[in-house]
Amino acid sequence: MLHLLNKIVEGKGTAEDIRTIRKVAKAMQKASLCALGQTAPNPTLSAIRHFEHEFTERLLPVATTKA
Amino acid sequence: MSNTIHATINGLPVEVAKGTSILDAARLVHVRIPTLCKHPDLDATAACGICIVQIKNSGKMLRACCTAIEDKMDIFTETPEIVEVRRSVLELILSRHPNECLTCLRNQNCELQSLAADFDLTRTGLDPIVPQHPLDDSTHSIVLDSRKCITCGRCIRCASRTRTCGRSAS
Repeated sequence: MLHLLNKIVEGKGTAEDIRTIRKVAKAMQKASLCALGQTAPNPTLSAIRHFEHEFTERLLPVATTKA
Repeated sequence: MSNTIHATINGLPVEVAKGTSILDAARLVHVRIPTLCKHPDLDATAACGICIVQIKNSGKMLRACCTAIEDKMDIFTETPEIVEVRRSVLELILSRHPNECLTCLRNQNCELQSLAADFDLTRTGLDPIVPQHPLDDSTHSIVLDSRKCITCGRCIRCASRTRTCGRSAS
């Protein structure tokens, strides 16, 4: 998750990376043995939810192909 | 207080002794829960997170190898959500594992490889971050490649069972 957040901060992140962060966060919340692991993704998820523009404005543009 | 537990796994009734793990109870009714770190001869370390199951109407997931089944538990082992989370857990394990099956001594004889095949994972969606440990060939008989360690804990469990190493070393 840190790796992906660093990617985004450096301007190399993609929308797929945001989806991956959410996927990894869900695995942590569901599969962790104790509340330490279950709650660990919360700050990142909160940040993405409440400050979404801070993430999306740094993402690499999605490549589009002209029809 | 009765020592027999009555519960349900995937709709099948089970009746087991108190203290039986969900994993063992499931085996009795021929329900196979996938595992990675569990060894039949060793106590569970609950390290891998593959054996997760879910109680009906609860969002929480439990690890079947280390959780004792309780009376009236209604357990599901293969919902779409469980499979999705299991797959993510396996992807996380694989993202830290060197992708060297073709030249690995355990090729075709590897539980991690079999599990990845079961989940149809040929490459993960995660960027690989493989720790770069040097090979340990300090003994003259065993070469240890720590990069391939998945921290299942079997070696530690096994060592602590003997009397010559681990906590119970005499």
